[in-house]
Amino acid sequence: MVRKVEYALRLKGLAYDRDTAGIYRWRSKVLEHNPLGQIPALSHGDFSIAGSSIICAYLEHLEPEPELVPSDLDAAARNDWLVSLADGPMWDHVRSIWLALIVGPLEGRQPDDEALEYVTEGRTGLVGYYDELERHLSAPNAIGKGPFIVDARLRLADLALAALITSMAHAGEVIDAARWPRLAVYEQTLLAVPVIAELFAETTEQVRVK
Amino acid sequence: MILYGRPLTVGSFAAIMALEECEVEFEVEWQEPGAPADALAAMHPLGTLPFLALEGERGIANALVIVRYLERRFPSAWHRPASGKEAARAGWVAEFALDEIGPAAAEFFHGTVVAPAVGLDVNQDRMREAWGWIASPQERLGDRSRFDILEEKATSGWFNTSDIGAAGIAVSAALARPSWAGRRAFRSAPSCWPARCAARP
Repeated sequence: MVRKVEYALRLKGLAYDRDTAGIYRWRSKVLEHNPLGQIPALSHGDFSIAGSSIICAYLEHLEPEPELVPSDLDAAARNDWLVSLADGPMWDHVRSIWLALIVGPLEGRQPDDEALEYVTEGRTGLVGYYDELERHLSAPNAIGKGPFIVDARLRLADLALAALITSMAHAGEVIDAARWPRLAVYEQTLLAVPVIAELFAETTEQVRVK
Repeated sequence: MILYGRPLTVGSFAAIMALEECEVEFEVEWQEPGAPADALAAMHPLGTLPFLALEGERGIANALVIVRYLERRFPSAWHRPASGKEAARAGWVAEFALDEIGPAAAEFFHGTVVAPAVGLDVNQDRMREAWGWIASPQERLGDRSRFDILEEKATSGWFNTSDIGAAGIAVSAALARPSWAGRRAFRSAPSCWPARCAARP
């Protein structure tokens, strides 16, 4: 979910430095404020906080535009629910696929039977959540308000889902358009958002096996 | 409003606490494990609990999402953070309480109170593991326990302990279970939290 935070930082025009090489050094430095050693963590002046959604909520206070959490009550709840799905159970399944198909080869390990089993479990586990997303994209209050999943504007839920969809795309996984037609269109919509496309291109370089 | 919940779970308890704090009328429909009730399945096919059904066959799932919804809908119901930093810290505490402490606390409560009461066997190793998860210092946490961390956050002002807030609801929902099980971690008055969080069996 590091990418979700980076999308938010870039959309809001907030300059930042990315420290990935020194995660453990940095972690020990801020352990007092980040006792679980969570990644991502944000350090802003003398203030530190961890957890991607908590960081994004802080950024929303820091720079309210563009508004990533809707002011409408129902839309905000829908946004929060979709973020909780993306950050929690969906990410657990995507991570299995990401570790087997991206991280493994980067570390010189081609996917073995066990890794491919994780991939299959990840794909299977995502089915119910894809159904849920398709349902949201088909809901009466979504029709005509798109192209995004909460309403007409890019919201935090879109960024959280984009982090997953781009991870899957890097692994060569695409949404089955025959089964989830609206979700497949939504996937392409997200991948065409400039800030998402920009980070996708940067990550493509990072994950290419040399 | 109707809250669909699962008995004895921390998330459902947090949602009930939040609804009580808002002083709104609501009913609770307890769901047993397995297929969700038809009315719930129609609104929320994933069937996760808790789920708050609102007017017009729509609703909200997830304990923290419900708490945040109620906070927006009833802005004077409880203490609200005054700044982005305060909100971020309180939000972190709420997630920590529900995700890191809640499940183990519920497991401990089930093994020490519920299972003996209904004549079920108790796996003592699992009980020790659940309590250890919450209360034993761990190297990866800087030789602190999760209770120690919560105590630090309470005493350093990461959440309001003198007046109930969203973080307080999450913390009390998580800590109520060990308290009822005889572990002196929570009493009804929020002002008692800091000194109680680190209570050991």
